[in-house]
Amino acid sequence: MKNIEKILLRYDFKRDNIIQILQGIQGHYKYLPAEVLKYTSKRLKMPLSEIYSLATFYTAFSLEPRGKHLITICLGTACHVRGAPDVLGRIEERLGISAGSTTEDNLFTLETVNCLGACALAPVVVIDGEYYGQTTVNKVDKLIDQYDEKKDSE
Amino acid sequence: MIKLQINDKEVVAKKGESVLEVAQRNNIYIPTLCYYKGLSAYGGCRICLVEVEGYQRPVTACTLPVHEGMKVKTESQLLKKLRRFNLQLILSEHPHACLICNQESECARYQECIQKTPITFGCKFCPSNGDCELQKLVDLLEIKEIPFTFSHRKLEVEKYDPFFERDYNLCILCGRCVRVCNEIRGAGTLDFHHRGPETLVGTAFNLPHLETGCQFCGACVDICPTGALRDRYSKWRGLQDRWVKTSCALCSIGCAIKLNIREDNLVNSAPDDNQICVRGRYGIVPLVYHPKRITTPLLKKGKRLIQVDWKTAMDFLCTKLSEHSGKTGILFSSQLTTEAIDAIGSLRDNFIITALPADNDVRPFSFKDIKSEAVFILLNTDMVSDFSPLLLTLRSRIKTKPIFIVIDAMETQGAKIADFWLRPEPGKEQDLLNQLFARGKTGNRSGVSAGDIAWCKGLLDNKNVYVLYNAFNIENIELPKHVRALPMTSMVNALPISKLHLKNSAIDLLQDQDIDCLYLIGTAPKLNKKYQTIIVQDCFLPGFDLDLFLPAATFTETNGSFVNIEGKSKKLRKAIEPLGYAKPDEWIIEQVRRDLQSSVRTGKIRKKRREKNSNLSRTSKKYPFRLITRENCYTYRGHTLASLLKGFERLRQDNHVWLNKQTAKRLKAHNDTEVMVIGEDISVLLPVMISDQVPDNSVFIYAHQSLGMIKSQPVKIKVVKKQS
Amino acid sequence: MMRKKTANKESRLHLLVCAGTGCVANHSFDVKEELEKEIARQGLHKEISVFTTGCQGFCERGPIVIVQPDGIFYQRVSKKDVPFLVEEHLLKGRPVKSLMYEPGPEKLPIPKMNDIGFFKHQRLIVLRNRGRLDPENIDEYIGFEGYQALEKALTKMSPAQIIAEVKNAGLRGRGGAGFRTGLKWELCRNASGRVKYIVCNGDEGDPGAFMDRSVLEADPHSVLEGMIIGAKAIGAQKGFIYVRSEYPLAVKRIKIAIKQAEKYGILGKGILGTDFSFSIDVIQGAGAFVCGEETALMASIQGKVGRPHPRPPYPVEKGLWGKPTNINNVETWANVPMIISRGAKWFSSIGTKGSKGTKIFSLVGKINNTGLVEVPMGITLREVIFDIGGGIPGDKKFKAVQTGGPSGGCIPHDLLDLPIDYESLTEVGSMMGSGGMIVMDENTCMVDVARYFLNFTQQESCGKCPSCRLGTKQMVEILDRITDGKGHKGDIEFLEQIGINTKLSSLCGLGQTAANPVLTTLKYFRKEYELHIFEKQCPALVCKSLISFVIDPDKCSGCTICAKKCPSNAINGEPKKVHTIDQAICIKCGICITVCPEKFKAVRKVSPAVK
Repeated sequence: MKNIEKILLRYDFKRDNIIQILQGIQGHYKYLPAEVLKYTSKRLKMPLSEIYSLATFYTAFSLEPRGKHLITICLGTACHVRGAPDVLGRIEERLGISAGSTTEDNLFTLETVNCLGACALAPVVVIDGEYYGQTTVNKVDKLIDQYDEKKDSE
Repeated sequence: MIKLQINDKEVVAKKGESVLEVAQRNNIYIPTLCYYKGLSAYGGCRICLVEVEGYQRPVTACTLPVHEGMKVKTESQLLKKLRRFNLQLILSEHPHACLICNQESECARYQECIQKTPITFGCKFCPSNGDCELQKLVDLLEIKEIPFTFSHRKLEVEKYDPFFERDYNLCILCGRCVRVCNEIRGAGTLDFHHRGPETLVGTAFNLPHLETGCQFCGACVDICPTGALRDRYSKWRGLQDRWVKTSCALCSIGCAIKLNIREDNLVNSAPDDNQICVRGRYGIVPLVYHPKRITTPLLKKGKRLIQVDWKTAMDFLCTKLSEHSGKTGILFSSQLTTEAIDAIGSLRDNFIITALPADNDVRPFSFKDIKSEAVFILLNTDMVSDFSPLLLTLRSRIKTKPIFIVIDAMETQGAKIADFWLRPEPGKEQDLLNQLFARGKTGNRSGVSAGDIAWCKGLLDNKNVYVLYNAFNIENIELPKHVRALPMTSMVNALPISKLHLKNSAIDLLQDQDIDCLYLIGTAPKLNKKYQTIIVQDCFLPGFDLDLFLPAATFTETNGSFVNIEGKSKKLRKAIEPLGYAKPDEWIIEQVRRDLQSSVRTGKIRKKRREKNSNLSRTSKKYPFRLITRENCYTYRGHTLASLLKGFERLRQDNHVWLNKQTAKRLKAHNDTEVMVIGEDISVLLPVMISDQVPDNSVFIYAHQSLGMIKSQPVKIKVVKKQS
Repeated sequence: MMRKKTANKESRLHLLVCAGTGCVANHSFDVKEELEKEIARQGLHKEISVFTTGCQGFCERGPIVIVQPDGIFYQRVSKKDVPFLVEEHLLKGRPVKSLMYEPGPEKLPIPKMNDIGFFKHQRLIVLRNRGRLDPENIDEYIGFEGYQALEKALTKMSPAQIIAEVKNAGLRGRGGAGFRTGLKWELCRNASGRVKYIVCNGDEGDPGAFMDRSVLEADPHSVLEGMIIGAKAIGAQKGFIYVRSEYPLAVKRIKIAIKQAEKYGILGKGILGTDFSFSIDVIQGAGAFVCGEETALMASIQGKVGRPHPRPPYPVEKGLWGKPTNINNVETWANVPMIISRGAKWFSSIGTKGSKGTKIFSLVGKINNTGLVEVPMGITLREVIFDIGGGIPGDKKFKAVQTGGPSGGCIPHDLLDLPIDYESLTEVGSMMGSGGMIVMDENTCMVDVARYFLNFTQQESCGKCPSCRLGTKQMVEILDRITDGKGHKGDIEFLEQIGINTKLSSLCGLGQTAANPVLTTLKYFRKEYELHIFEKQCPALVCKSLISFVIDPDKCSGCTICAKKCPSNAINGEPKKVHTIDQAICIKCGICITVCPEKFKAVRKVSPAVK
């Protein structure tokens, strides 16, 4: 819990800064563990239900541990008209999960986002922070292979 | 003063008021749903839309602040259309099978019982039928059809928690429960979660209410406009057709309550435009109709108790009282009516009378006297669990928000939400107080860090300090003159009892070897010896053998009064006739007095030397643990609520001895392991409950007369091996 | 940490490599490294310097490298192009034609940036520093007359004068609603109370819009300068910049800019030696489009969920923590320094009567020159789409342009000569919005577009009021049915009814404008809806339930490529014999169309679907 104390201190233990505190927690643990939220609720004297309310309202937060690789596909308008839904369909088929879930082997988490602001590269897929533009149904398979092969070599 | 027009009528308003408030004050009706007086305005249901000249579109009246010269219209075709639109949308998510059915009147002939269907899909199967704000609005807005596709949330009804259940399929997301829980009660159990079409109301992680600090006060149930939140017990008892205003006698606050009645049966108890607690809300009616309630006099014949009439019972009683003249003790509960207590008092020449509990340190105070700039130090008393309506009053009635400091070795609910929590070693509370009020540096005798003490000292500067302390455990409290000490106890009628100037205490009575006959009125203490005759006057049987049982009426079945902690007399109004052959305590005492023979005279008992409170912190090899006790404030007459009502048992767990993981490890005990707790003057067998509220090397027991007169002291714990 | 300048004052050539998100994603940093390496290898490092700049706007063609002072524009530069480029142009002085912009096939390449249509017709005010400065270096901003307007405002103007200047300039909010900025400032200034706040709304959530991102990434100091001037005018002590969590680079750059400004005494206590103190905090969003709405944004800053609250009371009266708060969009703030330094008269000379100045648009979709453009108000849609945008790729026909994001509407071909300004766009049923401009061609289905936007709004709805939460749900359901071939009579009328009621009774702007995409597409493309409902036909060949993939027997040569690639084995046929698609199995993924060789083009989509 020392890490959490550091984050709380950075934001002055103020309830108004709770969103930034949650961002800090997620930055450290890669998701929001329930036990950490309970601890935070106690230290800030803030109802746990309010913290849970924030964690479920804002889509940037995840209450479930994320897979090793985070695949985000943009479904903004520009990407939509350039075929993003088909690309999403192909990824879902390939990984066997629907958007918003993690594969059973915890290797991939698939999420959608409504516009990354990289519209000129539409359709855009981001994997672990790397932007891949002009993706197509064909290209996407090769992309995932790159990350899948890493698994085999581990 | 602000002048504005509503429907061409000139009205005046104060700055900051909303259009809705002004309209309501002037008897101009605007339909509402998510609005509730006393809560912040939400503006979410869109039903209270009004048109304002110069505004692009209709605005919600509940959130609209008034300004000079405003011209508001509350009715129009457009408003009707939009109100209907929004209500129809709300109903597209709420099971509305009967709401708009044109066969409704025909269907009344085929009344199905709601107990037969597990799913509420229409008004007929909803416990709030007839008491639902959606029904009222549908009538008002004349809605005959819902053109939208219907979707059912398909959620399971939440039945795990006691007292009330939650059917979120009926929830219309008005947020009233969230607001009352957070803004008024301060419990913070409920909130919205998720977003958009997935929005739901509930607890964090959908944890049971038992695990998220819910006080089970029922405020959310009362405020819910639909049948989504409903009482479990009373939902089978039907809708009330009238109510009686009375007071709740389950603790020393004496909140005003309403007893709802249907065809001369109590349905439930509810607040009377105030806030009450789980005892007054869910403890009263189930007690009155409890299957174990005895409503006929019982007389022991051989080994059995047989039902007899009052004459037989009274004859037996008077015979025995004569027989044991000079050797009879009356032990009466303070939780009777003042009238009953006065009547008992008039028997002092005939019997040795003592009260249980009895408090000699009575200092009635009025909360009106509490000044602003107040700091409350709550010492060993959990105001959240035991006196929450009082806590709310203190918070709201004092102009500047008071500061709450909790001093408690236990991590109670109150400690969790206090502004500051000081945790002294058990038994070192006075040391801590000395440190807090001393000038300059003091040692570290109480176990609280110097930093924390310094911080709290700062909080006390230039403030009016009130120490609300647990009178049960602390007999003498030393405080500087400028600090007012207010004893907190759930004991009712402290003032009238003190006026009786009783010479003997309950401990004295129960330990006297010469007493042959015990007449217990509303008490059921642990008995230390065998008596020749035991007479019990109560609503439920005690845990020991007796000779005569006289059924008493509960406080809902009698007129009368009792005196609360402020020294005020609280009125009790009879809501129903006493069940069966039960009689009010006064009536029974009156019969005794009338039939009593003049030869019956009081006796004398030896006063036991008053031992000083044993020093809790002086553990020894023989007694290595510290037993912390607190008054059990969830009792009625001689019984704990938990021993009678399952919901209270789950909520309170007060029939266990509590200890934390560290102590459990030391003892090699688990949940429900039976242990003997043995001290200088206690010896009791209880199952274990592991709780992180308890400090290390300590155990906790809610003190109740059925366990004996136990007080905080050093103890030893023996794990009882189960016979295999 | 400030980047060290590698500039050499004696350089004869500067190479500006674009480091906006788009180009970075296309590995422009690799290009820069390679350029530096190659230039050093060729011994040219004393005479040629390489810099990175913010987004140039022409994201379609990234990575972009500009050679100054000649203004030679290179596009789609990859790492392997670098050795040739360095040798040919930098060493031998022969600009490389193959890396230049070509306006169309068989058209001559255009070497100079300012001759390219995309850039020629733009008028850069907010984006004035685009492509010419390093956004992580405050000295460069100052070098381009940065913070001079601030100095003027603090030392030579009173708050009332500043407000008057902004009022007279006619600046209107660039976030979407177009409220008069000067008036807003004045209302905030006049509100009672000493404590006041200002906020920069960078929660650009409209899908397809990335103007704010570019401004924050390319020229963060322009936003800071505008905010400090605004704070002085209003009397605010503290400001907040709220940026979406999806813009990590923007957050990084603005934080660096703030630190640098503080170091230079431009932010903090006693700014530029005056007694005016002002500080700014950066707050990151957490993934909620609704937080772009003023009251939801303020709730978010205060650590609450982003649920809007009805207005009135307005933020300028009662905002953050109950204090008067002025909220403006990124682009609005970035306009302020120029207004102060060059004057209201200058600013109001640009644009139309009701809409002054310029507007940045993100031109995306079915358009050749995708990117960010800044144009004067009053320019026509036609000029933007064809002159700047280079028209529709593949010679397809223009069908509609969507402005205003999910709150806006689709404007058809007949209105292409519409001059762009707040009023004209609203009159035709759309709105300016934040500046997203999505171009659609004959293969965009308008019913699908309406469904897409409504789906978006549904997901982003906060859920507080039934009008939006459930009104949009009902509309989505109807649109789902229609695009699934299950539409029936009465659907259109019902959609309109729900749309209008949602518009009038929703609590906030999100719900109030949610129905716009439906209502405008119904207004201009009603026939398309009717075809979907009554004929079960999708003329744009988009709605999967209404189309079939068929192989033209006259064109099929039996090459078997499609059959092999089909993921559901729906194509039957023997080699060299005509193939057929089994409609019962076909999942309509579209792979067959993309793999059928160009010379045959035998697979095509038809609608209504084949039974």
